[in-house]
Amino acid sequence: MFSGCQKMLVPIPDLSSTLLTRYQPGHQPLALRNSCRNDLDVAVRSRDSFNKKILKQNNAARALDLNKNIENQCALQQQENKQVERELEFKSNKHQCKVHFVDDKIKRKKKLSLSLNRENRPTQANETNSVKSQQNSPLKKRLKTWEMHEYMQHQTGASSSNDYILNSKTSHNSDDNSYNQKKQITTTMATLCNIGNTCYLNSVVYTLRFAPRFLHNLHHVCDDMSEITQKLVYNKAKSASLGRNIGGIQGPNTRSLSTKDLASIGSFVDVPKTNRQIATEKLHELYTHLYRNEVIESTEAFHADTFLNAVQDVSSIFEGNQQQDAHEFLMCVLDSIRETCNSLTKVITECPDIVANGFVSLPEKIEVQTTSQRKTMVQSLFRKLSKDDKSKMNRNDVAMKDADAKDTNNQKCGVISNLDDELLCANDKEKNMEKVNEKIKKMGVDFFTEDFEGVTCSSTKCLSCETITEQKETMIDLSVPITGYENLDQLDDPNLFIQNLCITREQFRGENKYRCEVCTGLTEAIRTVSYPILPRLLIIQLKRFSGGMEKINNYIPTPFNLQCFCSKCCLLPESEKLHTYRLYSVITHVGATLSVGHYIAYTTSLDNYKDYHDCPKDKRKNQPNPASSIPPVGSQNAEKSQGLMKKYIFKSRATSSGDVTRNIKNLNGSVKNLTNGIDKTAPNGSISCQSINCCGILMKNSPGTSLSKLNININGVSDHLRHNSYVDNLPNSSLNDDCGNFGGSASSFSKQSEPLWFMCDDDKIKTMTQREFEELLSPNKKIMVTPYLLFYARMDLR
Amino acid sequence: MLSHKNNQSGCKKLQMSFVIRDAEERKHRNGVNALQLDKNNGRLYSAGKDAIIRVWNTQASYQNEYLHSMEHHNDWVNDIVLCCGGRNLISASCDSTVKVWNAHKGFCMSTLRTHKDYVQALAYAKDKEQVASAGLDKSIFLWDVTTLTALTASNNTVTTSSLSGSRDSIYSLAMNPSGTMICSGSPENTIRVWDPRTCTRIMKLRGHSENIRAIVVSSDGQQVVSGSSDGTIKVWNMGQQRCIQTIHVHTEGVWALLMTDTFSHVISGSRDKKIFMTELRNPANSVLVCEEKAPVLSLCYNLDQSGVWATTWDSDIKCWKLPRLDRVCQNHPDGPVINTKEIANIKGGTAIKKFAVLNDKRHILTKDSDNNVALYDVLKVIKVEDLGNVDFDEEVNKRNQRVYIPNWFTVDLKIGMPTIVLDEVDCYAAWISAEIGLPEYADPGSTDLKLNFGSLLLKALLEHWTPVHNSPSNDLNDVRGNGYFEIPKHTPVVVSEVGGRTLVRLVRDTAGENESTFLNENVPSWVTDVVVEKAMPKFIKIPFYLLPHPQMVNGQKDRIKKDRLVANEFIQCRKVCEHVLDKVLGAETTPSSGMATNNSQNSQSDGNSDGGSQIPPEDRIELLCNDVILDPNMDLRTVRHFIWKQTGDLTFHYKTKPNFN
Repeated sequence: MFSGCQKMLVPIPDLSSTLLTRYQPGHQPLALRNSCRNDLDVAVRSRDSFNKKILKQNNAARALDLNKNIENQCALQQQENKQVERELEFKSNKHQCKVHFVDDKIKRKKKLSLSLNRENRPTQANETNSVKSQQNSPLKKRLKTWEMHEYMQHQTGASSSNDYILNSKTSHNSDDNSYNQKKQITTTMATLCNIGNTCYLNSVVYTLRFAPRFLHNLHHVCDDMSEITQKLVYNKAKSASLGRNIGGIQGPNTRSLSTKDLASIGSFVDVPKTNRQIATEKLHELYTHLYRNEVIESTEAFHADTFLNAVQDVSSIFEGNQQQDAHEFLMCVLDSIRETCNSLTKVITECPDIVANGFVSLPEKIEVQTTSQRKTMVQSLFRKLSKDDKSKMNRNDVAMKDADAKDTNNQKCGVISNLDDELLCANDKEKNMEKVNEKIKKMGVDFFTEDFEGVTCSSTKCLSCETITEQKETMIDLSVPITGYENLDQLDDPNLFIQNLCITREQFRGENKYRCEVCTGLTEAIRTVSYPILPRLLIIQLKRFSGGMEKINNYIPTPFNLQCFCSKCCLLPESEKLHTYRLYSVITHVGATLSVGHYIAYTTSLDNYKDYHDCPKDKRKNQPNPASSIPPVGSQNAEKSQGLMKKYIFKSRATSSGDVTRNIKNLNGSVKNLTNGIDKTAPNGSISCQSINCCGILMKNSPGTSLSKLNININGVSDHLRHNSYVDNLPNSSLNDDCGNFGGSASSFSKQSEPLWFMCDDDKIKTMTQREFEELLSPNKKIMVTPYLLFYARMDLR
Repeated sequence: MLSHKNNQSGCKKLQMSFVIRDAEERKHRNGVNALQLDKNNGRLYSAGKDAIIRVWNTQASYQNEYLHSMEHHNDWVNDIVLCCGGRNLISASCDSTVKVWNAHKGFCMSTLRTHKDYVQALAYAKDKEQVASAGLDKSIFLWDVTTLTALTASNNTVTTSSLSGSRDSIYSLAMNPSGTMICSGSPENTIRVWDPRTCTRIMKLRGHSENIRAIVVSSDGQQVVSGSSDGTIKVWNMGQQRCIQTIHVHTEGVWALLMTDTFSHVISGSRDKKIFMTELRNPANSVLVCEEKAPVLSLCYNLDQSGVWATTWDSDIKCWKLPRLDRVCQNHPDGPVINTKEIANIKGGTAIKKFAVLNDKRHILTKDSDNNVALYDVLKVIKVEDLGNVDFDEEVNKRNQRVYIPNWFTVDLKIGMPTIVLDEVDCYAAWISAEIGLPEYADPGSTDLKLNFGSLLLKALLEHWTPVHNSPSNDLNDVRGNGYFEIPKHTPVVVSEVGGRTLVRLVRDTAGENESTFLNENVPSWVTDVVVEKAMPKFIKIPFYLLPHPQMVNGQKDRIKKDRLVANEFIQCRKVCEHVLDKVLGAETTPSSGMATNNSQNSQSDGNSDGGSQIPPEDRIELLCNDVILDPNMDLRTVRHFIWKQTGDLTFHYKTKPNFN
């Protein structure tokens, strides 16, 4: 369901679902494709009227948008046409819109243009979009008045001067590089393709991408995992070869590998990994691909099938092409990440050796360990956590969380279930433990607990003896029951709506009395649920189903700022609360029933200024290290990043790499030091972590473009700092940490920008302002968008 | 003629229960919820969580001696009120009844059953002789005591008015002596005030943040003092309809309040185990009366008002010296000067806190509040022995035999003594052979005699009841009891609804005509069928397979007949051996009637054929299950529970022993 479709006729939701069900990997007959297109046409047609309205409302802004967007579109078109042949090789379900949409109109036109392209591709004839142009004439005219002009300058040999669709043709003739140089680069975002009812996967992946600090943390965990694996393999080989240097740096005196050595290596190469660890790695890889796509400005929607397969190996529920529940999928993904973090923590605590100087060090620096040590380490790293461990970890975690949340990491490593004295190299066990704890904390290895885990406390009070029994549990999401009979008239504050549903109070009385152990009998009791700790990244599931298969479509308010209701904050008055939560993503479900529907994710980037800065792991990369493959951040940014680029670019596009490099150079020229969207130094002089170049989000921006007002600078260190209007609304905004508001520069921007939201509908990404999004969510629309999962990030106020 | 099958309680299921106890329980076996003092004769009435109200003589020379017990309730007695100058006692209990007693003689005169849930509190208007009762069913009933005490079996209707409007369960109630005002407290944290004369609502007092557990009204009805679970004591002014004072002496819920005569000071007992005396006008003037060993439940003045009786979760009732009123002042800056003194102590007994049912499903082990372990025999309703302060789990393991008998009763410890409950579903599940079930009574010869625990027990419990028969009486029907043993006569037998509401309480030796009538009306049919009509409870059958052991077969696989048999679950393995001998192998012994290959019923007393072979069948045939050689004494259900342990039908293999033939 696209934004702006509220006034659409009812068939449209069905439309989406039918579109989805037609997606089959493999070929699609042309007839089917055409029929798809027809459906699209239908959709498009009805949307026209609504679009007109919107346009009337926001003409100016839109005009500018369109401007940029069409330019963008041109560039994209050009690239796309370069890849024409490649396209044909890809799976046919990509034929749907691969291009990024920035606005309704453009989107629609895009579709038409593409479909036309497809038709015309075989012939490559001069096409006149006469058929379609009729339908679009009013809009076309408008377009014409604004920017066709500019546009046309770049089009040589265009047969029809009044048709934007000739991009495809013109791109053949235009000089890419010069075009790129002259053209201003506008916002792009990598997209995911729907590979068989995978909107549940796409929406979750999009959401997590925008979860503050998530990409950064995920990167380092995967990084560390692979380094440890490497090291284990290396060490095994090393000791197996009786000290011969296998796989390391070959000096002049080393002998070549004998068959014996090779055999011994072979048996160790396959270090068994659990499915969950593989899934986590594949997720990271997926983000890497998305980043790549953004860097090379690819318009292809990425196929997340590797990742999907990895998740299917974890849980067979997701096998096949059926529609799935996004919440279930999200839980599965988070579970995999959790296990990976836990394994990593376990390995490090069991064998602190592996971590020297605060990070996983390189093979040469590690002493050869005893076989048993290694075995244990491998076992612990790669076996699934047994139930015991899990429960121990959970219980201990819970116990830990009883203390101040800030100390969590410090205390966490009191949980060592299998620590064996022999494994420790140092004599003083305790000292070592402390060191290990510190290392782990510095490494941020167990970010999952910090970020996603909270603690619920179910407290039952017998009314007779007034004994209170508490039961604490960790949780990673809150499920809010929706009955469909909520009385929303009483709601002044949407905040409290969710809060009231979460902090519940249950009475045991009448036939349903409580069996009190102290009274040794049945008594009345009251059970309350409260939250000693709410996770930094809070996930709320609105349970829009009640027993049966009926989906409850009632309106539920979606607060953009959610008051924190952890136990501490509940006791404080509104002005003195310790935390607050900001909405950064919403996954909505479109569909009348539970069994059939479509997921769309709406995400925004909350400024994460400090996210990639002062990353402790980053510093180690700066140390001169010949074996290290990751270039240090420094003045040689461009060159190094060039090398980096080369690594990531498809081999078949050797020429493009050059293009990209040039692009970057040009970027460097036109925008001061804007490399990969990041300034090499932040205003306060810190350096960003290299992981940003691996799997971050790249949203390019240049000064002077009108888009700077709607600045979407992620990884946001630049002059055009986007400033969330949230900040204005907060009391005592002496904000730190997540919000990324620094000094005077921010305030000067406060009036300028409004948060920008991205509607991510599989391979279509559309931007909208927060106001538009709010309107979308309001109950006044005929066809309502029903939020299903809400994602909040915590901001500490004190 | 009332048919005993007429179940007047509607379609609710009924259960039978009884308490294993001594004839006389002179000491409180659990905490004490309420106290009342009769100033005329110095009698102290204490209402216990063990469902018994005891009377003590607190006059000077009598040293608090025990006078008698008033037993009729089946669950905690929550509150008592002494009326009519000490002649009558009204009690409210968790068994949802309000009872009227003759206080001097100590017997129950009538029972009021208007409440549908626990009755938590009583209030008394002395001048009008009016009593109000309220409970968890949110209702308040007003009673005229004189009418109540005039109730007889023939004149047994009483009209009551009720006060409506409470939104939540009521935990406390108070009236002023003139009966012009009644207040109730509930977990909705408000005090509701009514006028009992007109049954109209007067006001709601808000201010507490938790349940209100104690309320006192001044004699002029102008002031109300309330104690709450939030730890505060609030003084309310009726005229202004608001709280005029909050006293913060306690750290936990305030559960008991006592006012001095002039309403100048309040004595408060709390969950924090302390009793304070505080001046109302100036709460800073507060002195600690004592610190008890457990949360304080109720308070009562002693005879000369020099001290205060206090009850707690423990079963002791202690009297503490009260400081003189003029001594109630602020504590010294150097620290509190506590001068507490215990004047008297009525010692109580222990309450059973934990139990375990042994595998023989006849004995239970218990642990009490002093950590003493005791062994009880449920079937005979007695305590077998006190084991002292031993390790509970160890004893359980030591005494558990390797036998499987289905559960046929449940144990409830709410009153601190073991209450055994029998219900329709499971009561007759425990069939057992005589020598295992009642070894002390079984004839060594009658190995086939089968007994049913539930049936035995019920017959014994109702031994002295003369029910009304449908069928003409004959000699067989007149046989009372179970024919083996008797149970203590003082055992109270109770018929109640599943879920706790009592219908009839019978103590066997006082089974007069009234009780008989009650029983006739209320004993459920599943009981009378067996006890009165002498019907046989149903047997439980187990299907199983019988196969020759693979070792025996030796290549004749196609000839194996897989017998699927059905038999009563309590038969022993030797019977199976017999069957193998007789029916399968066709040996020379005469056929016995021990086994059935179809669903015919097995008669309870098997006439075992002693003729035929002199060698017992188990010496000639070996029976195995899961390759474990079975003890011939073991019964089928034990085999299934301990050895087979799987779903699916039990499978036996048989082998001939070397001495076969």
